[in-house]
Amino acid sequence: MNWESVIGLEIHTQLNSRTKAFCDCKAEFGEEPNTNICPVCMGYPGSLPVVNEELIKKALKLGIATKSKINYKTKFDRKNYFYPDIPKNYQITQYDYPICYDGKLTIDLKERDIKDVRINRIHMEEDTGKVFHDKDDKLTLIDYNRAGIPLLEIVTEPDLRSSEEAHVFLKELKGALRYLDISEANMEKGELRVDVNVSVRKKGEELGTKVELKNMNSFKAVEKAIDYEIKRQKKLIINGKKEDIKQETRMWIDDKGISRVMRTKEEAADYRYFPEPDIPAFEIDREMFKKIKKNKIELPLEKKYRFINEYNISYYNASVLTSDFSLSNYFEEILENYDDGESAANFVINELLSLVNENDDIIDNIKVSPEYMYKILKLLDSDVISSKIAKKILGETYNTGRDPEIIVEEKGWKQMSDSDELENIIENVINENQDEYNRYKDGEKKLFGFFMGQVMKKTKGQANPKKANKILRKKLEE
Amino acid sequence: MNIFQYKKKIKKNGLKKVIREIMENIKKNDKYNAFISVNEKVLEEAEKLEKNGKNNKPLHGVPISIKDNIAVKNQKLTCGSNLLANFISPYDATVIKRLKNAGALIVGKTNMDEFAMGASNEYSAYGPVKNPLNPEYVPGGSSGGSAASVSGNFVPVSLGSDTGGSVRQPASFTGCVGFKPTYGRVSRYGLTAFSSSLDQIGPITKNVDDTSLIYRIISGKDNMDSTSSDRKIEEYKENCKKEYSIGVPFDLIEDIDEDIKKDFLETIEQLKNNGHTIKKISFETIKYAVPTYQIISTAEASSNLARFDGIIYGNRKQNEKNLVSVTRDRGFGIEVKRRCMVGTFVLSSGYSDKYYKNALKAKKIISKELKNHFKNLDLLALPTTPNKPFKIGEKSDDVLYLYKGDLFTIPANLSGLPAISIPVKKNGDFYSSIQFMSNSFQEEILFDIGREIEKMGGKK
Amino acid sequence: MSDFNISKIKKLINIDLSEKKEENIKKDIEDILDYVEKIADIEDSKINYFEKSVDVQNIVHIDTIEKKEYEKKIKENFPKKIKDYLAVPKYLGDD
Repeated sequence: MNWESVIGLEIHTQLNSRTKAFCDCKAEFGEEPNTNICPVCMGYPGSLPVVNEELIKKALKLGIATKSKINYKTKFDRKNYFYPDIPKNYQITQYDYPICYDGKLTIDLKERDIKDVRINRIHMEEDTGKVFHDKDDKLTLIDYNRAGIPLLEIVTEPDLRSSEEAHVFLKELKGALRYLDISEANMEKGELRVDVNVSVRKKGEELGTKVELKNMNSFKAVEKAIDYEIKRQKKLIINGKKEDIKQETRMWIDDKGISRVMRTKEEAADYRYFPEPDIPAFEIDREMFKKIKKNKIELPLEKKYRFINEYNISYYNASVLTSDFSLSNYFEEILENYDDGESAANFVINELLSLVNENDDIIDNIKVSPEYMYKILKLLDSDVISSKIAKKILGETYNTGRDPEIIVEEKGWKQMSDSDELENIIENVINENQDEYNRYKDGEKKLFGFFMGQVMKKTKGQANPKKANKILRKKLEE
Repeated sequence: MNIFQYKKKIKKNGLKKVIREIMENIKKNDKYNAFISVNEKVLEEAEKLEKNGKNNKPLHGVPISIKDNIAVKNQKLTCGSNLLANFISPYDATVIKRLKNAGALIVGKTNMDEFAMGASNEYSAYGPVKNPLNPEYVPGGSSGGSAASVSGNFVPVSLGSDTGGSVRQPASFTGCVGFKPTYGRVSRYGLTAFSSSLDQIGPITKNVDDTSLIYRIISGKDNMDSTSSDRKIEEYKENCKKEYSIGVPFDLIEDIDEDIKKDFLETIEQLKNNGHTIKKISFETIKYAVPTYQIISTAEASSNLARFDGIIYGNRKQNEKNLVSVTRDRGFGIEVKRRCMVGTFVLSSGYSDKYYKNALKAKKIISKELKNHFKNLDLLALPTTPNKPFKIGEKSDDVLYLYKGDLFTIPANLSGLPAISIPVKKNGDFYSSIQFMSNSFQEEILFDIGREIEKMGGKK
Repeated sequence: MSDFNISKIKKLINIDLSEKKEENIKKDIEDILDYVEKIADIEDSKINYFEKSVDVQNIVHIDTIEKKEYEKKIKENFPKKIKDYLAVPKYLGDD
């Protein structure tokens, strides 16, 4: 049977701004409960909201990056409902004039398998407080540090066709949000929240009933929840129970791997949206907009393919290098002076990144500048050092911040590449190890490694491996 | 006594003595129930003020009462409601900060219709306020306590709030001057919101000079209020003329109280004799004014009052799952419940277009018509109210009567235009008052014509 | 005559009226709604939210933290507190 899954995402991302959306309280949690609160975010009588400039700027940044249309004339609206975690019992959000709409985010499932996922809207709103259900007690505890933190809501069109596509989309979005310095977008920290809409149909038939999924706390959970739902819907249709697929909201229960009904659409709340009277409808400042557009940032996927085309590096390497904004810039800086993209990529990924990870560092703070990396690569290319030495030098520079060229001089780490010198040493090694030599001649070819080892020992690791290898082979075969 | 007289008295008798007398007066003689709470620390504050030496501040030592929906730090903020019976505000409203910086002393919080919903101050959880001119009658509302505190000579000035006439109407009923600035002139930060797009804070005083002084001190842009304007405050007498053209919608006053009508027309004649030009104008869209006001104000109120649920602050009624609905049922009075329900209905799915959205359109139309008039006019004149004060309890069952009494005051709120009400003539216990509106940000013209009315002999 | 459904409105506005009180308030509200019916004959044009009816400027706040020390007083106003959390009956608000 030819099945088609139709999937859309509704994503909330918490901004990394310093203050809240409508007051200048600190926008950070993980602190003592109820410390970053004020009359405004606590809904005190007489308090009034004042928009955080960063919220508007970051919404525009995201809109420009996703090639969205902009509602230059925009406004806030009130969404009215009662809940203990929302102090005013209404949320300031945007209803019919979202700041951005009709954009797209490009994703690739694998190299050159590119797809545009359309973004229906991006709008600004505020977060609620955090509720803690005490297991035994008859009470619920609330921390309002999170109440009023700025959020961007991103709604996609139902363009996704599998759980894998959804996962890739979320990864791509996370990368974009980090590149744009909008949010760290960690689902585990609640900086990114995802609701999913899923329906299933046989190809060619009309759209199936849409089911909403909530409560997934990781990308993996999103994938699992989608797969479970697709399976559940298919099963019902196959068994002739298509009508049992109701338009409802289901809660994903990760440790059991199942979902359960939360509420049906008939009970949907009437939010009585109306324009926020405390914040007059406004027009985006054109100067500010121009500035943001001018400083447009290239998104990870774009950069990845540009690296592949411009620098001739592999898809895998390009993916790793563009997975982090600072890393991608670091890499490009190396290539300002250096031509061999793939060598540089391999060296950065295999050698530098492991050091960074081992030391729990971030690329922004390391002592190895792109210029130093370039120098090491140049030394390698001109055969002054071997790759083993290059690794040593990198470690040295990493810890001390000293110029690789100076290190090579000081430590005398230049490769021994003189053929005569090498021949001499190799002859000595063979003479000193007649037993092994005879065994090698008798057929134990494995002992080649032993001889190389001895040569390296004698030269304190500085023999040019390629040359030594060649000469040794020649000598052994004589 | 007005501000000037108070300042003289303070210079003569010393600040502490004067303040002590005022507090005694309030404690002993407030038979009008004008005050909900008094500032127990005011003598300390007076001392501090004296110690600071400089008594050249514009309101040095002047005692002011504040309507109990405006936040004063460490004082009660009940809004005339049971739900906030013991609530203490942790912060000062911007207008309070400005008054304090000018040397004023806040002596107490005044009684009001609950959450500013009312026109007679009979809807307070703290009992009705009595009109000092005749205690059997209402003082008007919702700033009834503010008006009574000035009319009863407890303080020279009170700050109230005006959403549909709640400063001007009680000022008129108690023989005082009531003033509503252009929307956006005075910060609303610290004013418990009733109808956000209509609310403005305004003073109730004994004369226009005091009104103008207080206005200058409290007005101006506030970064805590996104609806506050940064339009420059005019200079004294800026844009004022010797002769104004004044529009009067004579058709509208056909069926009002006879005395009010007579006094109004006489005042208009006098103005004509003084050299002003009187023009007859029509006000077609006024037929939408009260319904528009009802819809918009109740809609916004239903949302603004949703925060009062006993969860984060306030008088929580119990600790069960229905905590919120019970707290609100027991905490709110009947008028507040009525208005919140109407407001919820006109915003609800399926009705929002017919009621709320149409009301927004009507608001624009009414605004347009008024502003159009100001292309050829300097002022618009009307009586402040179509009716006289009535006895306490007389109109309790007639919900619509009170709403219709706002007919002449509502247009200023709907259009955002400034308006002033000045008493002109005494009739028995009460006064007829005249109301003027000017174009946006032309408050100086209102003060100018106001002073002229005072000189004409209506009062002092 | 309007379609005022008092039980639905009660729920939306979260006010627990007893049935006795319901009857009285319902009549008043219906009177009010009858009175405001005339708004329905406003001409049928689309509403423009962006026409500046009042002269107000775009006010924003800069993204700098302003510590104003309200936490203590706000926590003092909590009707019920456990450690530094606000406490409410369990599952309040969940249907």
